[in-house]
Amino acid sequence: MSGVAHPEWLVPAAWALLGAMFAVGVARRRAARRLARLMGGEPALSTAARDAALLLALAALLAALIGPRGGERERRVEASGIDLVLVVDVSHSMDASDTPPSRLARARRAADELLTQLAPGDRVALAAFASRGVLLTPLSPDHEALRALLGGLDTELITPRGSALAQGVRAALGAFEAGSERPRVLLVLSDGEDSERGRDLPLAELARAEVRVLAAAFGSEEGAMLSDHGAPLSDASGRAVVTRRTLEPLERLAAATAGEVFRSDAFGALEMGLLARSLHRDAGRTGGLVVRSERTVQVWPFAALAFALLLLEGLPVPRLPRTGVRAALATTALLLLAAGPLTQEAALRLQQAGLARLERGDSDGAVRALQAAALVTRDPALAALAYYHLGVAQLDAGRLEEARTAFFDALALAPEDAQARFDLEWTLAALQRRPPPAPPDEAPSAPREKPAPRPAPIANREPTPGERRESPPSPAPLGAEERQRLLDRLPDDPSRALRLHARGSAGETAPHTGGPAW
Amino acid sequence: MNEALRPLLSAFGADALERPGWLPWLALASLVALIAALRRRPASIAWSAMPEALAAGARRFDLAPVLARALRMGALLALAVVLAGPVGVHRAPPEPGRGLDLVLVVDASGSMRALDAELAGERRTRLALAREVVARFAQQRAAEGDRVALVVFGETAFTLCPLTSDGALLSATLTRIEAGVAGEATALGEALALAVKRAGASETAAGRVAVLLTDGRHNAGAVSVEAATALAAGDRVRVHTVAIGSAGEDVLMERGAGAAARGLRFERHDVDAAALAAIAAGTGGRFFAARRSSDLAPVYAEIDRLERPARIFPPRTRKRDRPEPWLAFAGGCLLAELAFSRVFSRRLP
Repeated sequence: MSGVAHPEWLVPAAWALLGAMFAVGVARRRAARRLARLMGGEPALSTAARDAALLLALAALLAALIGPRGGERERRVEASGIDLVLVVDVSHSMDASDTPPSRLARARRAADELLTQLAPGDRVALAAFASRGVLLTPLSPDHEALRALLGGLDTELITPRGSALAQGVRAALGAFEAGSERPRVLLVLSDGEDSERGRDLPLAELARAEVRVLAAAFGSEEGAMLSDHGAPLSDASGRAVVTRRTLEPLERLAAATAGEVFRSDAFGALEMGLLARSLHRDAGRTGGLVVRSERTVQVWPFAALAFALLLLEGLPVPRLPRTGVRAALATTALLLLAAGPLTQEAALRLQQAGLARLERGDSDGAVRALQAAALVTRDPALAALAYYHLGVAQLDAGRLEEARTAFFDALALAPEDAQARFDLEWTLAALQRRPPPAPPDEAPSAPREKPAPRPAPIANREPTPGERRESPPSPAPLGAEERQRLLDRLPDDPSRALRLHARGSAGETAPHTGGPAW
Repeated sequence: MNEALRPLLSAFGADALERPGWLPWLALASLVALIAALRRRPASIAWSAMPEALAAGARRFDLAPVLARALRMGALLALAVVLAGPVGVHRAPPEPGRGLDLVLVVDASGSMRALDAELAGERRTRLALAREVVARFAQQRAAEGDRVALVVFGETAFTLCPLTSDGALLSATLTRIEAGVAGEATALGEALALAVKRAGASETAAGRVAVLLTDGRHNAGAVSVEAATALAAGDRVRVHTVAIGSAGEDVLMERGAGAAARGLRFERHDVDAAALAAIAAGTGGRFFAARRSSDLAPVYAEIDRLERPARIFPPRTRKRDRPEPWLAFAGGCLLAELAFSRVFSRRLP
């Protein structure tokens, strides 16, 4: 599964190659027969090399398309909280009481406990599935609000009944933000019963989105009967339905995404500490750097092979090309060889120019030159140096954020550079020391800058007490205790919100339109 | 070079080339190979007598070889682009939590069914108009790096959506609100208190703001408007209030579900402008009255203008290789060429 980037194209690619080989083979036999009829003999086919080159080029091209993975690349990113989507199974089988009071109640309790253990920077979304999957909330840092919503999850939420794990996972994938560097985790809370038995799970999509799937499996292997309006639920032949915990689909999900499956014990409890630690596996300490290794896709060598073969196949091999063509070929080869050193040279010159400008005190000019130097070169060491100097120039110009970005880039290319690390840490510290931009109002009654007079867009706005700022009637602030009491007393009926979300049609499971969501 | 190619690149899902310098050389090499191939003598038998050749089915000009060459050129050029490294540059979203935290409170009480709003020349309910305007506002602010939450209220208030940066999902959620979804009455105090509760999730935000939109007066719920205002002031949540609807007139109501579904009805709903103004004044916000439906969008535009904190968002981009479309194109060209030159067009070795 993890060997190639696009496993879904393996079979079509193989068919295309086989088809092409068959067609070429048939064409060759036909041509040979025709020639034999004309000549009356059995001539050897001189085009075998050309045909072979074409087929080999096609094979290389298809291999590049499938995207074989090989090698690892390390990337340093700023540490941040995780993006977690809780995928809760609300199918009928979650009503089973083999882990009393019910599997769903246990799942809700586990999710609730987990939400209290998350770090403040973590973002959580909530999805549920039965016959279809629904993303109930987008990613949010407001763990309290999600805890309140959990209470509204029941097996009546999604109709019709069913148990489509894959749909739940698909709906959950819609929550992740495109381009975000935050570690992505799905936590499936389910008994593992899946109407498709884990056959149509979107494993390739999960891999592409770099999502880890953890699963918490509730229920018991012995199983339990389900109640249908008080009587045991029975199937068409009248036998009582027994629902059992099925680990297989959950284990497939976890195995394909380097995740884990956590089983509830006989009482429905989970190892919450282990689960929380596994969730945060890829999250670093906030403010620091985390190393992410990602497997690189080897497209380039295959594409280069295909290109070379196609190029050579077109050339007249038996007779050497005429002088003009030969000269053109030689020039091309020379220029290709020279392109590397040439850009190297340019990068060095740009870098020197940047340093000279920096010394003259022209930090903006230095920034421009060093940016160009960093972009032009293909040598990572040279680029790292350029980024480092760029960071210094940005610091010189007083732009802390840009300096931080530049030092990050330098470190990403040359992780061992102690000087760059020191400067980055200094910049980060300076950024933290610098006071954040003052919010427009420090206190509710503080006088604010009058907005500049402009043609009033609101024709009939009355002068109101809100605008008469001279004596705003400041209400007496509440005491801490009173405040808490008031907040606790607030009704926030979770089922109303969840009903509204769940009512969305199946088409709404992926609200992000326009290309893949990552 | 990169600039001129951009439209073509973006059509195939890439934004830039990692090695743009390679492309001209590779294209030149392809062209040289093509010219060399064209100079090659075709592997054919020269017929001396034209009539016989024509009778045997020969054409003066055969399209197949030309097509084969064109396809080969297409494959080579697409591969040249692959070798030049097409990448998609994602602008990574700003690290959340450094912008404003906005809570948008929307009245969904029964009176929002009043048909006195106009949207794109059509007579619509107030709620339809509010959904439209608030959704646009929310989406815009989320795209700029703020976080937005949604609170809906009627007889009671509930959190429709906690704070999030996901503007698309947020506005999709907003379209599902219907009048009466939280009861017919108007629990202004509860709505405001809940908004304060939802706004308080983060310590890092540059500011906390609630925008309360309503068309009625407080007549339900256990929390008084005064207590909620004090709570907001204490938690430093600035509240802008927006009154919507024509005051003091009877307006035609849309037929709702259940008891409200009988015939044409005219009702009068008076918005409590004084209470809304007091909330705004007590929390440092502003009060707006949108009497006509065309006023609502400018009100939110004005709020948008008022709430502009200085943002520190470092630029964040992430590159992704996007060779697949080009490879697929090259593969298609090559397969088609094989079909033309080896299968459909007759040849002798």
